[in-house]
Order: sequence, then structure tokens, then C-alpha cells
Amino acid sequence: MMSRPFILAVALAQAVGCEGVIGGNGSTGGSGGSGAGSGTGGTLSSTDGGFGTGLGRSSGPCNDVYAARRVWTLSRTEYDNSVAAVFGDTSNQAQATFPPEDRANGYVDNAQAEVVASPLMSAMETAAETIAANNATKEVAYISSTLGCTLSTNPSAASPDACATKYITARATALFRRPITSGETTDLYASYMEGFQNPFTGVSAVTSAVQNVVATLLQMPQFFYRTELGSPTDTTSSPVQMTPYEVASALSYMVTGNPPDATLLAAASAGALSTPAQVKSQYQRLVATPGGHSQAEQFIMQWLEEDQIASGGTAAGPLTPTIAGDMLTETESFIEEAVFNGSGTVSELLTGNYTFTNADLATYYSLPAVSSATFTKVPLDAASGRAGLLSQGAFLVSASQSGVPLLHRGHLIRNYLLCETLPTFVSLGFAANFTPPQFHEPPAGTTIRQALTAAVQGPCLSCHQYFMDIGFGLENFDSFARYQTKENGGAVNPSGAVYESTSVDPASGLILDAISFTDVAFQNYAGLASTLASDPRLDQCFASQVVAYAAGRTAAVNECAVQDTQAAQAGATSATVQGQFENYVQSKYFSLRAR
Amino acid sequence: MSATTSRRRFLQAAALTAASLPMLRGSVARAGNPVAPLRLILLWSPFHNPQPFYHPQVSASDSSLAPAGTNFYLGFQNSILAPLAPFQSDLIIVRGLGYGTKPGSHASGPEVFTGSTVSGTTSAATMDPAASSTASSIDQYLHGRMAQASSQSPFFGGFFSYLYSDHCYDSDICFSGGNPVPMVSNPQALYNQLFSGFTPPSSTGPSQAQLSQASRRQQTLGLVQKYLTSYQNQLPTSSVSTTVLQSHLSAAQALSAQIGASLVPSTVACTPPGASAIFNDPNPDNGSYVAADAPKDMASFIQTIALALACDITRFGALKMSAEEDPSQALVNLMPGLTNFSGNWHGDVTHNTTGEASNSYDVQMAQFKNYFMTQVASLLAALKSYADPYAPGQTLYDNTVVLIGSEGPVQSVGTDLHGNGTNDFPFVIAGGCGRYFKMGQFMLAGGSTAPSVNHNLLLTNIINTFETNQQQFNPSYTPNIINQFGDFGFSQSPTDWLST
Repeated sequence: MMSRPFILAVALAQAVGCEGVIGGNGSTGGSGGSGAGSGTGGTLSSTDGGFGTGLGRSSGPCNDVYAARRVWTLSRTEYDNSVAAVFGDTSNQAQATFPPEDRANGYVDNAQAEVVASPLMSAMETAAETIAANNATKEVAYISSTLGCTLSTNPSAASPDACATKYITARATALFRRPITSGETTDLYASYMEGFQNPFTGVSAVTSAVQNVVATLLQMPQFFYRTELGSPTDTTSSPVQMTPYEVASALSYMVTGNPPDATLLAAASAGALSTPAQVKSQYQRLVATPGGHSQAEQFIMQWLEEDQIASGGTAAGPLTPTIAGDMLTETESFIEEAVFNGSGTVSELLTGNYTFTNADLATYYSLPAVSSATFTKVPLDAASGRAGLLSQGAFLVSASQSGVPLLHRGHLIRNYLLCETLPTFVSLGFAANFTPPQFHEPPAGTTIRQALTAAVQGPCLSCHQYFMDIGFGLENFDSFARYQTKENGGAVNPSGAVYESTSVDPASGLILDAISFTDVAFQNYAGLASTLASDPRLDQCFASQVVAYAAGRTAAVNECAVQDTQAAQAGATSATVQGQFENYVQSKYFSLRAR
Repeated sequence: MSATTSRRRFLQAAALTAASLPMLRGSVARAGNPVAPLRLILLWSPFHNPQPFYHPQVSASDSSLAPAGTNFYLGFQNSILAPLAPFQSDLIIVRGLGYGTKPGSHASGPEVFTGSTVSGTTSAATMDPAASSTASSIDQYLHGRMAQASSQSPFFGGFFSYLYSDHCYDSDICFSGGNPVPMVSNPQALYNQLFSGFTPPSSTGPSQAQLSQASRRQQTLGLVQKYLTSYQNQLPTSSVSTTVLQSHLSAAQALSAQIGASLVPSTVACTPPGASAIFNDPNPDNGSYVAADAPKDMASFIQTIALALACDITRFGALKMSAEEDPSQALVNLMPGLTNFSGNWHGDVTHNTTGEASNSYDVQMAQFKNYFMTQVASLLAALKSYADPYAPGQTLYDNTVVLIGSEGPVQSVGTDLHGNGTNDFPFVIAGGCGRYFKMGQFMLAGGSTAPSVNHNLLLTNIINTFETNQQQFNPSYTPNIINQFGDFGFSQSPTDWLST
């Protein structure tokens, strides 16, 4: 266990670094398009005028960037959901046995962040064989009861068994999320015969044949990757239109984490995913499902790294695993309420004056007593000092697991709510390889804020002010999310300011001029939350997060895709969370890919 | 993303095939003898090796000092390698290898067995204490290619070292696809990891069920590879997705190779002794480091490792022979034969600037390193005590490659003798190595001064030797002879110089 002073030193070094990004977020792993698109978009035939009509885009010139043509691995959750959807198998083999996904651009399900190396390859083989073994008998029953045919007890390689072919077609279509080709049918029938001729132990040859088809299907690239390649016959168009089935998969996994259902596949088959209105209609249908709600919660929690509390916040100090789990439930419930029952705005996520607690969490937070062991919506008054996501344990604890909480929290907010990164050492007059001084735990009677304020001066302050002063606003919450008025024997002072540089690179968010700025002061956390909620950078940044999440790539705030996503619906001053996803799926950037 | 990029490079390297590289089997290969699988043990110790005490010596006036078949001798005062003298005819001591152009000594741990650039801060002056690699180490790579049936993953035991926050001497040395392999610091835990649930493999060859399973799996993997290639063909070669698919394809090929290897009959009949026969430390560490137990724990590690190879539980593993230099824990004081030391080991010993052979601190460092070589000798002796179940008349020692790496280059006499350079890192290969290499050599890989040949050359040669061995051990095996291993920045074309 590292000593406290060491943690402080490292954190300060990170922060004073004033370059790059922090934590697992902000990686450059996304593929990103190269602007190869023509910029005209709207190439689909459409009675609605095609995708990409601007959606009320109000900003000035923007960059026309498409994601590249690609394959996109299923996440562990998506793998398990897909298996459950087809076989009814809810054993969640992937989540139990696959290595965790690489987190890139802030999100665990990110295109091309995941690489299948040997450990995952072996785990995939084992999972596929396990699922096949557990479901083989049921599959044979499915063939007779649902498909209405009987498998031959003496199948021939030269003359394929019609019933086996029917089964292969049904399951492969469901798992590949599209009609299968004749070549695929032939290959899978060879797997059927392989299972028949080299049977698994303990089952009949016919059952073994079915079992081997299942084991094979679950290892096929057509199952494990969802494609965004466009039609194989289209070798020239640019940008490239994804096929209707690719659109269906992209929409379904993005919105619900599940494979496309029968309704969506039917729409793809009928060519009914070719207009913005058609896609919007399917989006609205899917987001209303339990999977749609759950996926929205996961997106917002990953945006602020709140999901990290589950992995690292349960063993330290007064935070028990039970309380950490309660914090997770609190935030999930809050997001559900704000997004689906409240105004649905990002502003409400930051300032909503209510939360969900049970008796234990209310006591832990020093909120008025709640008698129920189940979670209940409770109002938050000014005396509680809390409102919105940033005052909930899931954020506060997750953001306190690395370095000095005060600094790290401020840094996270600068990065993920304002989409800005700190100035470089060189821009502040330091050498490029400048090594920041170490920071030690303050003496008794001195808060970390007081110690930092005394230590950080001159050019260091020019950088620190962009995140340290935001962190001041959260000083009433200790590392474990408990409310405090004293820290280390000193009086907490939660006043601060949100600074805005006059020069920020719109493509990267890099603060170019740290010296020239404006600022908005606040007196406490409520003031900080209110200031952030009314900051015009917030909606723009959130839209870029929506695109990053949905498109599986980095998305700069000056991209047209982001501006289209951010557009407010008619009569509203800002787009809701759902509204932004609606905007995105209706834009050309959802279904076109750079060649 | 750096991890993805490095994995891509690794996988590209792994996927390379060279059609007609020279066979690596040396001129003294065992014609007519049964072919046994090779095993690999990686050993690692921290800190520099004082040059005058590390290099073997050759006396022009008394060549009798050099044992027959060798060109050097080790028996001189303060010789670091003296404990290996009984195994001298099976040593290759290599000079002139460097870690590319990378930050040097501070990054040695993550670089030494991966041949790849470290992640994190890469300036020697500000090396991230948690410096890591984004690639795979040689043990993990080889295990992925040729693990035997029921094989466990490569073991990784040892101790940490060096608590000072501005260095990375406690960094990891073994990596799997960019992920550090957790080190087991408790030898009894390593024993339990290896032997719990162990059942000797069948000696009667694969059963019909095993053959059927292998056939099904190979057929499936064939389809997987076919459609991965199909996707690749629809994408530009420069596409990130092409690289992702190439990674998947390489993993499928590796799994296919493992299945082929699993069909080779085993001749192992092993009954491991109980833990009480292994552990002479009555109070083995339980996660917390107890410096006073370190020598006993080291002995337990060695016995456990030799037994694991004898039982064919795995054929790959690593042992980190580090030690605490923090005076408050003072392992350096506990090492047998080491002069009691109370100063600043790091500042006074590893970075002293007052000369070489006359400096008492260098003598202390030589004693420190000499201690580790006594442990290497113990391991070699343990390997000699077990018959190789695959090769009658031979021992594990005959068919094991022990690769010894160390932090800290051996540099010429001058100021800051032990600065964090990148040239002339000390490597020793020990063991019989299946007679694929010409042993008993003191080699200059890059000349006598200021080398260097990148050490990827060494790693690549060893990998290709294993690939060749596997083909001979298992006729169905298709070797993947590679041009380089690790980061392309360390690139060197392989030669057969270890066998010549």
C-alpha cells in the first residue's frame, strides 16, 4: 500500500503536468474518420430528404468527419445478451470468463479498442463449447417443435440434410444478425458433419452435430464482430453507406446493448431503415425498453467514470461493499428519473435537487433519516449540500481513487464536462520534460486546499486554476463521499471559480492560452453545479460524448456530427439526453462510413 | 492508443514468416537422440554488474584455466559468475546487447523479455515507477504458441525490490498482450498455484475423445481464420480494423498450433511431494515481504520451479531475483557473504563514480550479484536432478534454456560508471538448451566497446529455436519463424549466431 504522501506527490505530478488527459478516459484509441466524406451526405434515397439535413445546426463551419469502415467487437455484455436472445442462455459466460474490455475514449464498448489475443481466443472457445453443451438438447427440441422437421440419423456430406440446413439457417441468421450466404451455409453444414463424425462424448451423433454448430457459430467472426463495411459489391462510393442490417445492429447494440430484435430485422429486410424518420422511430421504440433504459444509465455512468466505484471503491476506509453498491443504485435510479421521467436534460443531471437512498445510505450521507431498506426518492434541500450526479458517491468515490481527490475531481470535470485539456508545459514557460515538485500531506490544521493554494504559484497556478479551483467546490465531500465541514483539522472552504481560456483548440480541446481567461465565481458546490449547468460548453461537450460513445471514436466539439447531435428540439433551449441520441441516429454520420 | 498500437506491432511481428531462414540447430546437435520439448526459464536481478568482476577472463599465458570446450574462465577473485563455473560448458555469456534507443536501465524490467518499448514516462530522469510494457514477454509468447496439453500458464515468482518512488526497479518483467503478469511473491502460493489439482497427464497418447475434440476444434478454427481473412480483404491494409483482425487471426493460429501439440503423447509420470518437502521457510510470506526469509524463500522457489518442469505442468516461467535495497529492510545485509552495509545502497553503490576494481562498493555489488548467481547454480543443479521424461538418459537441464537478464549496463571505466545507459546489458544463457546452441562461449555480439546489437536478436533466436524444436518434437507442428520479436524500433534480422 502506498503511503498517503506518495499518492499526493504522484497526483500533483499528474496535475501539474498540464498536458494530456487523465485516468482511463480521453485515450486516442478511437479510429476517427479522416474527413474523407464529401460533406454533402444525405446520400440515401429518402422521402424525408435523406439523412444529414442539419437538424437545426446553429454553429458556424464544422468538420465533416465520418468513422472509418470497420469491424466492431461485441463487448462481454453484448456477447452475453446475444447468446441469451438466441438460445435463452443467461449464464453470462463472457462476463464470467472473458478478460475485461480495454476502455478507450471513456467507454468500455468502443470500436477497435478490443483486440483478440490468445487469452481471449481460448476463453471464446471454452465459452462457445460450454454454451453449446448446455443447450444442445434444447436445440434439438427446438428443431422439432419450432422448425417442425426431423434431423436425419444418417446425414450425408454430399447431400445435405434439409432439416439441418434449415436449423443452420435459422440460428446463423439470428447470430449473424443478417441473412447468411450460401457459402456460409455450406461451411456450417461441414461443421454439422464434423460434429456428427467426431461426436462429443455422452450425446448422440445427431445431438453432437447440433452442438458443434452452436460451438462453431459462437466463434465465428460474423457473430463476434458487427460490421460497418457496407455492401461488398460497393467498392467505389465515398462515403460508404452501411447495409440495412448493419444499421440495425448498430442501432440496437448502441441503444439497448442487445442484438436487433425481429421487428428491427424485419425493418432492415423491408428497407425501412433508410430515412431519418424510420430510424428515429426504431430508436424511440428501443430506448423505451428495459435495455434502452439500462444502456442510457451505463453511458452516463461511464461518461463520468462513476462505474469505477464497483472495481476499486469498496475496500478502503469506511466505505463498505454494501454502501458502494448502494451508491451505484443511487446513481442508476437518479439517471433513470432525470432522463426518463424528469426534464431529460444534462442540466438536471447536474442540478437535480433529489436523489434516491435507502436507510443505510441516508445515514452514511448524513441526510434526513429514511426508514425504508429499499430505495426511495428523497428531496435534497440546500442544507444537504448535495444535488445532482457530482455530489453522489458514485462520482465522488470513483474520482477519489487516483491522486489528490480535490485535483482529480476538478480535472475530470474539466475533461469530461467541458471537453478541455490542460495547457502544455512549454506553453507555460517550462521545459518539455519539466518534473513537477512533490507535494506532501499538509500538517494538522491545514486543509489540502490551503496547502495547495500556498504551494501552487506563478506559472503552475496558470495551469492549476483550470482544475484546482473547480475541485474546491467539492471540498465538502471527503474521499468516501461523506459530507465534511472540516478537513485535517482545518475549515473547509468550498468557494472557487470556473475559468474559461480565451483560446482553446476546437479540435482537441487543448487550452492554448492559459494566461488570458474569464471566470465565473461560485461560493459552494451548489454554485459550482449551477455554473457548470449553465455553461454553454457543457451541452457541446456532452454532444461530443454522445458521438464518442455511439460512434466508438473520438469526437471533437467542432465536428458537424457533434453539432448535429447537440441541436435542440423545436421549442426547447437545449437538447435532452434522449434528444441528442435521436439527433445522432438521424444524422448521416450514423450510417455513413469513410472509405 | 498505445496499447493497441503495440499489440498490433507484436502481432504483426508474430505473424511474419520467413521462408528460408537458416536452421538454428548447432553443429553439435544430437543426431539420433530422442527429441524432447524445450523449456524456458527467465531469471532477472536488479542493479548493474561491475565490469571487472562480471566479464569472464582468459589468460593467454595459462590457457589451462579455460575448461575444455570453452574460451574463458570464471574462477577469479570477486567474480560475479564464479558460482556458474561448474556449468561453464553450458553457458553463453553475451556482451554487446542493448535495449534499442530506449531510456535504459530504468526501463530494463519491462523491456528485457519483451523486446519492446515501455509505456509511461520514458525519460530516464523521470521514469514512471509503474513503467510497463505494452507487448508480451517471450515466455508468454512461446506458451501461446506451443503450450502442451493441460498446460498451466507460465509461472512468475519472485520478490519485489526498491521502494524509491523515482525509479521503477520494482516494475514488472512479464507481460501478456500488454497486461502485466501478476508476480507470486510467496513460494508456497506458487506451489499451490502449480500443483493444486495436478494430475499427471496420460502416457498412453490421446484418446479417441481427445482426437475427436481436436478435429472439431481445428475445423472450427479453420472457418474462423477463413472469415477473418475475408473481412480483412474488404478493408484497406492500413485500417485499424485490419490490425484488429490480424490479432485475432494470429491468436487463432496459435490456438490451432496448441491443439496440434496437445496430441503428442506424454511420458510424464510425476508424483509431486507434499509442500512440507519443499518449504524450508517455516513462515513463508503471505503477501507481505519479510526480508529475513528471502534466502529461504528463494530456495523454495527454485525447488518448486524444477518440480513443475519435471511434472510438465508448464514449460515456461520466470523468477524475479530482486532484493530490497532500502536500508530499513536491509536484505542486502542478510545475504550470505555480503559485507554488512549501512549506507545508501543506491547512491553510494550503484551510482558511485570513484572507479572500479579499487572501489569497495563495487566489491559489495559484486558480492550482491554473486549471491544471485549462487541461486542460478542451485536452479541448474535442481534441473540436473530430474530425468527428462521425454528423453531417456537426459535430464531437464539438458533441454532447458535459462535466460538470465539484469538491469544495468556494464559500462567502460569512467565517470558515473553505472549510469542508466542502454548499451551492453549483461545476458547469460545457461542450461543444455537441447544442444541447439553452441554452448561454452563468451560472445561479443556487437564488438568489444560501445555496442550495440539490439537484444531482440537474442529473443528472436531463442523463439525460433523453440519453434524449430517444436516441429521436431511434434511432426504436425508448423513453426512460425519470425524476423523479430517485440517493438519494431528494436528490429534486427535474426541470424544463427548463437549456434556458430
